[in-house]
Amino acid sequence: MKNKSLLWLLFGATGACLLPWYALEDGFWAFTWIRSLSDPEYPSALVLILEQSHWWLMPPLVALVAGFIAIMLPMGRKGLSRMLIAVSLLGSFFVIVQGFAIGLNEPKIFLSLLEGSSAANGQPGLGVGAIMLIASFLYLLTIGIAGLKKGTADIFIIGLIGTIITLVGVFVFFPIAHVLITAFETADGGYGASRFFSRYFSGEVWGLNCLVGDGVCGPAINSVFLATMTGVGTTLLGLTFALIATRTRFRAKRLLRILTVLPIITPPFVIGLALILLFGRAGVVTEWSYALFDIEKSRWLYGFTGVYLSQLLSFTPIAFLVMIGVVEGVSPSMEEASQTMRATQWQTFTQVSLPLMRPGLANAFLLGFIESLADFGNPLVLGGDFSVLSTEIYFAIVGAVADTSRAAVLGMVLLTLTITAFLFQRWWLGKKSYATVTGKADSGQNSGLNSGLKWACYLVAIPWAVFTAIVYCMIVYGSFVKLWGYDNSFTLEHYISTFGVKTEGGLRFVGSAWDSYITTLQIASIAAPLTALLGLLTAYVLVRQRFAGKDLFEFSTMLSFAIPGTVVGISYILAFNVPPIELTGTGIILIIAFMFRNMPVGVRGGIAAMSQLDKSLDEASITLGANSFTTLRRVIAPLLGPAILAALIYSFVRAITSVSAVIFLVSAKHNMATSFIVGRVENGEFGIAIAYSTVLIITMLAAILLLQLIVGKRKLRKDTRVQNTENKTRLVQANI
Amino acid sequence: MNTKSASVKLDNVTKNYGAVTAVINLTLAIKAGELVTLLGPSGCGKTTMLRMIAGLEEVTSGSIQFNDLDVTDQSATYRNVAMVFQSYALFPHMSVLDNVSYGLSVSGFEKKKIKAKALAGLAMVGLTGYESRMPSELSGGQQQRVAVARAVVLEPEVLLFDEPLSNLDAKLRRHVREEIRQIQQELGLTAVYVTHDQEEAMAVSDKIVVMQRGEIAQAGSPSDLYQSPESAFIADFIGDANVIPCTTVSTDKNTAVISVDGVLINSTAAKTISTPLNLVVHPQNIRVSNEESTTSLAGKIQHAAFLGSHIEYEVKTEVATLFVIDNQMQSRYQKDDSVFAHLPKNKTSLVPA
Repeated sequence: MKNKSLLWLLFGATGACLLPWYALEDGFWAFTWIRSLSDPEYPSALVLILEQSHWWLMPPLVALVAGFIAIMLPMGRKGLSRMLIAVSLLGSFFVIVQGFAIGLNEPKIFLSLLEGSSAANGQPGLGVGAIMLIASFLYLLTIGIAGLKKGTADIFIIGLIGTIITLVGVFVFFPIAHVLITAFETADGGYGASRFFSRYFSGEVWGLNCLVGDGVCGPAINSVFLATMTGVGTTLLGLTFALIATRTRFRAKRLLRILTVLPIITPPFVIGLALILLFGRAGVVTEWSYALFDIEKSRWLYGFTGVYLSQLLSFTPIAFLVMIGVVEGVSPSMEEASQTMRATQWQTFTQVSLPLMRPGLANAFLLGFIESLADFGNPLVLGGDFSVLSTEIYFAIVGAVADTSRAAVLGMVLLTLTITAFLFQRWWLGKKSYATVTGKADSGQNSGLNSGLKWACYLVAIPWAVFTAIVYCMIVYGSFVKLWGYDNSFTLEHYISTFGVKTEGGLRFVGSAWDSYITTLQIASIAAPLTALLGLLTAYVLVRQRFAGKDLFEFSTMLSFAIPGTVVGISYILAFNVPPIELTGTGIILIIAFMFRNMPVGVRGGIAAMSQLDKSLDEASITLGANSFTTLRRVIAPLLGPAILAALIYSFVRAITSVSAVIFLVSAKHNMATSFIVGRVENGEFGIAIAYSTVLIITMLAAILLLQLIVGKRKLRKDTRVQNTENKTRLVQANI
Repeated sequence: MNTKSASVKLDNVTKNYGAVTAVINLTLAIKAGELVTLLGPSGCGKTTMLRMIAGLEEVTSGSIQFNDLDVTDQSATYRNVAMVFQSYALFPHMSVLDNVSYGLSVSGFEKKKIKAKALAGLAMVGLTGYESRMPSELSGGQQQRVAVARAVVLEPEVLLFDEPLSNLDAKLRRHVREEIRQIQQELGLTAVYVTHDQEEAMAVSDKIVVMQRGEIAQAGSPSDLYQSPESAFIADFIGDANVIPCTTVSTDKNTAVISVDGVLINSTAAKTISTPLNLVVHPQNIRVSNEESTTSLAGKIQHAAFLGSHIEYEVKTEVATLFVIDNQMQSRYQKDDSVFAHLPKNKTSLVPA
């Protein structure tokens, strides 16, 4: 314990005395600071205190020194633990307070105390030195806590829990708190509730004029209406497909499965683009119906209809995956029991199977509902005058007058809706369900569908599947067409302008998309392993450890799912634009945004996989003298192969396809593929947008195959293998 | 004798899970080199106690000592224990040799030494030649033997067994339990063994600790528990004995005359004679015939089952329904036959009701 404490104290001291305290203009990795550590441009905390009289940095350093003294003193384990806890709490408290007290240009609080001091000029955000000091306080705290506990407590585990709580606190709750505070801002810069509530409940947001008057409805009403319709639509379509896949002898079941992978690798606005190619004013269908039936060309696609159609196309596969699990969960023996009691197939379906599926149906509906509320890409491309919350938030920020306060209020409205749905879903799933996975082998066959129902399913599903296929073909086809609807000749122009390469004078990437493409790949490949690591470690803590407040801990790690991307976007620009944490404009903010948005996927996948590993494996390792870290490394991790793969793929792909949060956080230096494409769409350059999307889809397919080759090589025994399909289902379920 | 084997002392150990108490004030001393079995019905706290000795559960209060050294605050990683699990818990991604080497390698032995020790361990359980197999390529009995080797090569101060045989079929169970006992005695290991099977406990133990609702019901050698149970629970649990309500007629120093529904028999005097009393009679000590005697109770056969080597009867009498095992099989009775059940003149004991 003393050794570990000393190690972290030295780590903190290095940060405080040798490394730059403030964030650097040109970034830490440029290593410009290393040239001269006493250079006044890159001062450490110690130098700042001694030479620039930044006396407010003294208290944390004093706490650090107190830590050194504490481990020198002859003290019992309990006493030392208490000392370490006190030292680290005080130290981090002082670091945080000074960070918030002194802003970029002037002090924000304690004005009288700081008056006339060197604080008057403000200070930049925290840098490497500060982060090292905070980390050292965090781990001294967890060492102290571990020291106070008896028996099974483990420094590694408590450190892990401390790390996760700190990260989730800083990168999920802190930004959301910022949104909340901004929403309460009054016109004159103060804070007050009355303005917030009047804006929160204003007719502009919740207006019902489209029903009673002749105006338009508020974005909140539009969002809720759209989400309800999408939830119902995707659930019914998903059920239809699931019935076909599990209860009929339909030949092309494999094709149905492929259908489920597509939305994962499709950037969210691509379906909207394809729909424009089909039904837009210059769309194929529009042209034909004009030519053949003299139906007038119109803009009917732009608005509710278009968004609804594109959301149905985007989210039906997810509902399908969920519903397969639900339909298969109905125990065959119940249906057989019903049939032996002389029920017909139809009676069995309506009176036994369907009621058993009811909780699953509700779950699928809520998933579709949340998914639709959070959707940004489709409404952006197809919304027209039909305004929904996610796009309204965007326009409040990027519009003619940037109104962060309005964006924050709208963000709160959207957040309230999604979190309500999220809580409702968890409550619903938490109820004891009478469906039916018992672990007992249940032989027997699910009853087939009666022919009426079967043909009804075929009649709905087959045209829809064909439609989906056409939509995806449109994406590829459209990328080779010169100017859709006007000049339908074949061309490679879009690819050349985006991904052109010149070989004269060495290899040169001249295409306009290369920059954002390479940035996207870089950021996605940094974010993916970090996300998977964070998610799986969290899952490990949740499945294998018991500690006070675990339920709350689990809830807060899953919560970031219910936060729509647009809300994440504005919360990050509100929270991380000013000291103490200044990240906007960097690539790091994108990586962090991806990590915490996609972390729940890793958590759920990890929980699913780890629950299937017998706990006695851990215990065997522990009783054989291994510590938790060794156990995790040598026993758990090798057995989690498939879950690791799934988490890696998922977070990689999500980092590439995500647009809602990204569009707020990109900068000139770090532009991402999706925001580049959205820019092209806004300029009406559909050919380029579609060509780029096609390249992205192919990139992701290639990445998935590559990862499967690398990670999937390790052969595991059958009995420990995590069911891959089930895993995917869970991942998709988790993907809200 | 293994010099590393430790004595174990449990001092007033209590374990609460919220409002539920799993183990209450349990005090027990285990000598070095002894195999002690924790026996009891499911939910009696025996596994919890074992896991507290291992360091996998924290004690709520009380202390645990190995060789008079307090280990209560140490976690399992730092206690010198090894455990054999009900589910074997072999690491499925490692070969047999890697499994057996695991504990040695995380404790930082040299590579050469690890291999030599692991091979010796495998030889001890008779699995030489299986080093490179994967666990899934072994039978259940072989897997459990690998698990035993994996635990034993660490030369633990205390070796723990958590129902090690319950996943094996009946025949194999007998074989593996003999092997475990042999290895334990050869190496002189201190071992704590948890089971709910009283026959298994009798077969392997130096001492049996019967637990009931988180407390020790009785502790002693197998024959002590069988011959002089201190409560009806022990009598029933250990020997499937009949527990018959009775009253004392007279007592002297060593024997008591007691009356079962008017039938007088002698019994060894219970240490403390209290009333009401129960007479403990093992089923094979009761004889069934159709002739009356001075120690017989009249009854009716309620159930009869022929099991090859013996016949089991349930005889309903005025005072109790008696469970009888007839090894002689001179005559057979059918359901509803009127018979007399003869209580033995000795071989009985008394417990408080």
